[in-house]
Amino acid sequence: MSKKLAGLTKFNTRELFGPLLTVLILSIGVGAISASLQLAVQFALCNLVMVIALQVFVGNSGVLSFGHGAFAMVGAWISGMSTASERVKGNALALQELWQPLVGFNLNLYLSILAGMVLGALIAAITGAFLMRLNGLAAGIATFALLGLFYNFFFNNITFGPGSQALPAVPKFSGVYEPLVLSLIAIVVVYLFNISATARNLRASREDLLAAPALGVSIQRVRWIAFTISGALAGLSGAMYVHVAGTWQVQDYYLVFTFLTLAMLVIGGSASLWGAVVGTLVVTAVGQILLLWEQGKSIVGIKLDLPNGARSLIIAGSLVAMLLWRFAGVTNGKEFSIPFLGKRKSG
Amino acid sequence: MAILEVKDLQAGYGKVDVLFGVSFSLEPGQSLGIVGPNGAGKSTLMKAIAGEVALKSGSVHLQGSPISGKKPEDVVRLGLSLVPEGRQIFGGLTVTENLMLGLTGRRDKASSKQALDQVRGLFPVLNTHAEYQAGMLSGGQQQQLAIARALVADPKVLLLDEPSLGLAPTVIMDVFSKLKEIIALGTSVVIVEQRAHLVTAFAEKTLIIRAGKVQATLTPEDAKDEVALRRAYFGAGA
Repeated sequence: MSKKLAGLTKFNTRELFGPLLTVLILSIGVGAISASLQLAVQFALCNLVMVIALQVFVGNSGVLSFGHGAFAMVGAWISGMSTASERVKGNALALQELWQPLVGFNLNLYLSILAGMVLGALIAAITGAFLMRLNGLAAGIATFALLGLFYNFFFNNITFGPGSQALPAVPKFSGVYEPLVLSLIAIVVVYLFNISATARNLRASREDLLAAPALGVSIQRVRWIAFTISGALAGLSGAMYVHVAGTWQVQDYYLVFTFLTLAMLVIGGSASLWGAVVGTLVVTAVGQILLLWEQGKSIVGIKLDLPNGARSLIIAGSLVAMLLWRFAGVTNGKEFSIPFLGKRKSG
Repeated sequence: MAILEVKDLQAGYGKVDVLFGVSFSLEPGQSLGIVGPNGAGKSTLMKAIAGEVALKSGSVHLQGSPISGKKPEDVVRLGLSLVPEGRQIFGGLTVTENLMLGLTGRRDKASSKQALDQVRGLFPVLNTHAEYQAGMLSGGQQQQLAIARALVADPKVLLLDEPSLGLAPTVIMDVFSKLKEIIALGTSVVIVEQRAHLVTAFAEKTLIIRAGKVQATLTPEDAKDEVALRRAYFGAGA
């Protein structure tokens, strides 16, 4: 079933409910198998929100961003800092120099997640006002510099955080349901954005930087809107991550996180929400299998003794292969569809 | 009052000047052709009027208001649309999405829907191929889409840069008959073309541009004299 809504390109129930049901069923199903898999699902859901955040901006605009880790970093920081107990903040060795107002700064879990989103959006909005003028290599380098800037700030600063140490005792989610609900909400938000006029204009600018303004599209403006929304979602991802890990450490949001989430987006297909979801699922599943083999365990009777680091190497290799031979990713840039339930004329 | 007035327009790329004092005016509902050999500055003239190339001097007025120095997206909102050379449709987007991009500057939903219905009536193929990826359309269909996309912005003046480029002769005649309908609806049209004979016969007046300057102004009558037309096009030595 599909119908048109005012101002939107095209609302397609299948394209929205496909990713929603896939994430819902897999999260509950896999999470029910064991406690360790439930934790893996929770981390995967954090990554999923980060990958769809990247899809909002990178996928629609075609502009590469290495900077979204910074928004996740600040989202996680404020969410972790505002929920860690006052006693821990006042006594932990790594927090001896913590700015006093932060010691007494407390929010409940859900408000802290909202604060993470708002701070992510705010930082993205401020930096995006300048960065959105850039294209291509310049944009990639500038956003990488943004990531480096926030990393170095937190890593070397013990007034606003634990510096290179960890912020301990951040309250954890009680199970898979909280991150799952947040992920499903994020999927709905991203889908609605992707069928909006702003996203359509952004995709036009991705295809042709000269033709889009000639039709009245303000490229800087539509990029800024997408960057801010994706900043909010990256902040949400960080805030979720800190409540899954139960600790905040600046290194968790730096290069490995940036590389992994970008790889998930590229492998799945950056042009669609479904691509972002599939990329996250595929890379997470393959990563889990490879991790077990690295640990010398067998999976359904198959045992491979992989050396440590093989997992990262294989994911990196997959990324290169995808860029070389299937640039549009596993989904070929298409949204969710079930061929035997009706044929669509176009992607 | 002229709907479009270009005065002493000088423009180029970096230190290289391409146009040297081009002037013309266009009345409401009028059609103007611009012809000239390769490198004459025709496309640069279109881009300069549409705000895509900065003016070095001179001015462009639309309905009496200056538009020189404005961004392309603002020029579209003020009522001047360009159908660029090579069409520049968005091949990865659907026909409908391409059309809706033309509505970017419009706020009124009722008139936007009316504009969409109007262009779908003018170009029925866009209706039948609404959900196709634009890149899958034939050259002629893509040209129709490019014109339709510019028209939904409700321009007072429509600029077309080489609309016949890469099209079969029969398709070219289709495109030009559609342009006649568009002019009849009250839109002023400026057409840049390599096919001097075709556009001179079509437009109410045609400028010949060589080396960045207007060299002559022709009327449809001049299209009948092939030799004079060729001489005007290539210069006195032709």
